[in-house]
Amino acid sequence: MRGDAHQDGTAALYVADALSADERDTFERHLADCAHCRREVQDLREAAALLSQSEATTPPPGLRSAILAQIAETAQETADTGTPSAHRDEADGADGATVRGRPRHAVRPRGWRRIPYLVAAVAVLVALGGGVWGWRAHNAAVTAEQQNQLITHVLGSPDSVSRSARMTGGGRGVVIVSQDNHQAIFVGSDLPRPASDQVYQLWTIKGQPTSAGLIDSHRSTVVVRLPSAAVQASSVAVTVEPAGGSPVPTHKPVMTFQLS
Amino acid sequence: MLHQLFSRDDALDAPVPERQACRQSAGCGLDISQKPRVGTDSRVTEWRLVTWGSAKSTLDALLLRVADGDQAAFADWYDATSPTVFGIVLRVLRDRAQAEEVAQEVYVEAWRLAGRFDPTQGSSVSWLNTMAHRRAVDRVRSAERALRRDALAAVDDPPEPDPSDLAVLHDECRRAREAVEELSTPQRQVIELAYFQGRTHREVAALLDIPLGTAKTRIREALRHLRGHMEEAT
Repeated sequence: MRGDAHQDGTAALYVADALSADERDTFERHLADCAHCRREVQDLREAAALLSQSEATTPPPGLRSAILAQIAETAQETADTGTPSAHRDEADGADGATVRGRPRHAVRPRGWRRIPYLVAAVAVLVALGGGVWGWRAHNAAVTAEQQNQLITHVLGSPDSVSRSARMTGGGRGVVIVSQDNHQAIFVGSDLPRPASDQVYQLWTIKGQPTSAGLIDSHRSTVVVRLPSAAVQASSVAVTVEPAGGSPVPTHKPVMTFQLS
Repeated sequence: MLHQLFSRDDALDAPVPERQACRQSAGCGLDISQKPRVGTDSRVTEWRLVTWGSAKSTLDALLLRVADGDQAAFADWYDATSPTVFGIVLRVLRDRAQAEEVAQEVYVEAWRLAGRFDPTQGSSVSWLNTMAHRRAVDRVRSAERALRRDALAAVDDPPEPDPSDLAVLHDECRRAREAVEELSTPQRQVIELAYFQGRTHREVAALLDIPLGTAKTRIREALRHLRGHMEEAT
């Protein structure tokens, strides 16, 4: 099964659960070493989900309450309790990481669990290939590919730190800074829409505030690359400014992120 | 083994079963008329109104909150995904009591292992569906499956459709059905046997009297076709 196993379409059989138990085990061992097949499995699994969706049926109402009651009393596996050689165990359990079809340690960045979910949601958008979010690059037009690389880079950097803040009117933001990479991004989620003649403006503050760009999208998730000066800034702030932005902030910040 | 296969049921002579579930139910979990939900997150309302495809990433974000122990997020995630999960396990098991049991196991497992979900490696819907489908298939393949299925298939009449449910035919659910209906007859045959009945590819080949390689190719082509359909749709 190793070697050229991926050439014979076994991934599709695996995804359709059309392999015998032995064949499944063998293929899972192959998957651990074969990035090509892991991609194939991942891809075809979305198609399998579509098959299931075509059979969608309203579950009985009692099921919901039974499940919610049970999970309330069920401990979750934490990052530390997973077995190091979890791949096999997970395969037997027919659960998550087999779904991922790869050993966990291979991809998940260190400290992933500590990253706020919002930031992880950005990773989701990255995985979806861009085009989903609003994006405003600072002083530069960047391609979707570059955006993705950038975000993956910042998120994946072991030294990256994040600060989050909530807005009073709803919505929240996260600033992620990687000193090592000299990069910083702002991610906004569900920011209330400003008045039509107003715009959110980002500032990096080190002594004096310096404009770090405008948020010109009303998507539910916005990603803004901050100028590299943000890496050295003591804080990052968001204000509401007249359309077009201001050279200096004219209002109090609606969100502030203390970096140092 | 083979004689068992052939005697077990007459699925091959019958046309691919009517896809009724979707039509009779609230469908794809985006039914905004469903009961009040535990979660109060305002985003939930918003994403319930959009199609599943674009809501997928929001579902993923929900699961990431579940990983941090957020039970309200779990309830929302359940509401959005349970028709798909229940639908597929019921389809494979053909028995409501067993389907409920398996669905419950799947969700409790998902709760327990939510921390392993990695959004860069696929959607939370496919993550969950993989668990659900495999569990249902493993069960149906267990020793008593033939007995159970034969005995229970007869009594598994779908419940009367609720008129209010009928009114809610979500786009995405309809699209999923259409995508499946677009498959060629040979492709639908192999999908019916392999995916919906839980047969191995060897069984599929034997039942259809086609070479193993052909069965394999058809299953792959069917999934590829659906994948292509999804890409067109986005």
